[in-house]
Amino acid sequence: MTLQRSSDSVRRIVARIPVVVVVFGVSTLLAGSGTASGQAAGDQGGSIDALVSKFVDVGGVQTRYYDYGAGEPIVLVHGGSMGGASTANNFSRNIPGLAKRFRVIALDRITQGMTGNPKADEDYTNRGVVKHLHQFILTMKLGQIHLVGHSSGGSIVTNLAAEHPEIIRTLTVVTRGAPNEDGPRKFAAILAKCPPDTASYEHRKCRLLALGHTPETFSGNYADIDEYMGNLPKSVEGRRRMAAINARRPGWLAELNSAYRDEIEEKLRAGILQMPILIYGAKQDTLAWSEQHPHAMMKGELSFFDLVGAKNQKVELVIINEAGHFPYREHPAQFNADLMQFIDFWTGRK
Amino acid sequence: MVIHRRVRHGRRRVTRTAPWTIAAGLGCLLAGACSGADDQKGSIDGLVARFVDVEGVQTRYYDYGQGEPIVMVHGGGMGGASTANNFSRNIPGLATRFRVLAVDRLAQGMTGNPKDDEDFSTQGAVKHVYLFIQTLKLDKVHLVGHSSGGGVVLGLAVEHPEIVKTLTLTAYGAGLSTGEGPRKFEAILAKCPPDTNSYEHRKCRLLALAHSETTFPPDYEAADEYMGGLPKSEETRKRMAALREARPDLEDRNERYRKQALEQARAGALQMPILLLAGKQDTLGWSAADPHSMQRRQMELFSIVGAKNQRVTLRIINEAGHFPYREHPEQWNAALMHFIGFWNSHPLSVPGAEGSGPEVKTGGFMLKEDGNDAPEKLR
Repeated sequence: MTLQRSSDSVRRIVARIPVVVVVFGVSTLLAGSGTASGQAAGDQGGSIDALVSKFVDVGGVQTRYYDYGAGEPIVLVHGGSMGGASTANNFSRNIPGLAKRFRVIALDRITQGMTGNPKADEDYTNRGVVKHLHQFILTMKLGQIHLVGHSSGGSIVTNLAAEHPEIIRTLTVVTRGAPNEDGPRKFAAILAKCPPDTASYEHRKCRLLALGHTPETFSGNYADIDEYMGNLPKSVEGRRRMAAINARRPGWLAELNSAYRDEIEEKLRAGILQMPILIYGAKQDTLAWSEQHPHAMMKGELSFFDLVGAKNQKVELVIINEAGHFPYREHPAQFNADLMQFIDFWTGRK
Repeated sequence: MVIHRRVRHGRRRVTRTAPWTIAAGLGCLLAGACSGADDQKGSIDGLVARFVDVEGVQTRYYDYGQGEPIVMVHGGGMGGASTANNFSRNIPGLATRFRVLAVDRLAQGMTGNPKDDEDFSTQGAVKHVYLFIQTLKLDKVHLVGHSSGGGVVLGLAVEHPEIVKTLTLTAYGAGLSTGEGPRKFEAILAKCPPDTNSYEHRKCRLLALAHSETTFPPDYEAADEYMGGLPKSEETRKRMAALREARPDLEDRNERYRKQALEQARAGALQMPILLLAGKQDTLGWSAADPHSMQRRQMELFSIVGAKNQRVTLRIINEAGHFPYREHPEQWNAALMHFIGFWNSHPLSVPGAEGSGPEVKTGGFMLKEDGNDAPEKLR
């Protein structure tokens, strides 16, 4: 298949990033030769760190993704919210390292990055995001995968695993967030400096950048590229559509999300997740820090551990230091090594 | 048993251990502390113990494999249960890639007692492990400590950071707050023989900390009981009881040492990679009201040792109690070897840490004594 050939050719040069620029054209030619599902041709305006984006039609939704390396597939699912910042670009520093031993696929979630919007109103929900992710995996014919989700993407991958445990080899949930603590949160003070309209792209971008633990977390042209995607007509349309749905049926989308969460939690309590699960946290994640409680974040990680570990021994929690809400961007080599060791151990490799 | 078979039939091990059995016997005779015939009565799981004189203290240890040395330090209290045997399930796996040494701490297992009263203390245990490393000429080591042994290796790393390549603290509570109200473990302890100075109480306490029935099988208990009943062990308990009468300041002294070590760690004395490796169901520090009190304690310890050192990781294993390495030996070994391997191959390669890390201190780190400024050197 052309798609596979092109990703293989890219894999060989991932280790030597500067060469990627040359291969960009080659890869585009290879994949542009008319496969039904995937092509590297198309708008590269969202691509970062010399990675080349591909596009595939997933049930009528144009979907952007990166696809590097060969081997068992690892699917990386970013966080954020619909129509806002956070895309497959979040994982730009992890793809080259992981692609040395795995096929790594990072996609833009539905309505995010350069991926299109759903047709039905009820798909502007977590269930809609999970459905799109599942269809993407089927469209790409990935078979069984190692699934990784960050922040709100941690919930998305947990939901997918609960709905389709048979396709998940291992599940990794990174800084999934905690229930809100009582009292003021550290992050509230940071957010207060952002543009006030929480539905605007500017607010979302400000929020994203504020979650970095160091100025290096989102350095270079990361923010510019994010802005390009966030202001695409389809992104503007996505936010407008969500606002319209919320105006027409106030609270309806939130109710759907809440009902879906309860439905999934019931499955989790019943012990549906029997695959190895890595819970990955960061010591300085400010997202849920209450000002009084320096370890508030752990409350979320540990309650998740309680839930998924109640009937599954193969659950581990790893917390790394000097890392915020994006530990994999701040310590990519360390994160990659920890993830690969976890996969290796539980799949019996050495 | 798998581990037993692996140790006995490992070709390298058979050829390595046979001469040492004889040498160990000679060591015993030279030190006059035990008879050769009884040398291996404390050994379990097909392991063969060795003996070395550490500045006058006969010291039992296991020594397997080749490569960078990992020194494993068990927990428990002087004159009581817990010995190098705790690590019996980890030695074969780790020895496939490292030289693994597990030592009976001063006044525990089959290791002798200190001469000085002063050394019936954490500081005495630290000094003994340090001298053991020097005597065996191990140079730099990967240091692992369990439970109270975590306090011993932490103290050693603070005093001699120059010999510690990586530091692993497993199920080490660091004496930090366990939260409000009664602890789960108190209900368990209430069923043990009441005399906390007795060996029977300590053994009951040890077994109660296990998460599963197979954590400590009968042969483990038998070896433990044998060592706990040795004349030198009875002597330990007798001397310590007498010391408690004559020197009630000893307990305070351990407390001060612990706090000072943590204080130094917070100030940045420990710049080596540090792994905190704990069991999710460790009951030792659980308050009955808060199922996560042990994990909170691990996070507090993380805050201390990670205050000025990026290379700190906390890893929590599921369905594991106070002895995660006995309950999930392969998983625990893999976590340890991965940690060592990663930091061996990524020396300060982390963004932000590159070039900005404080220099590793060389030379003995001094601890303050009695809250005044008079420094106390190790020796």
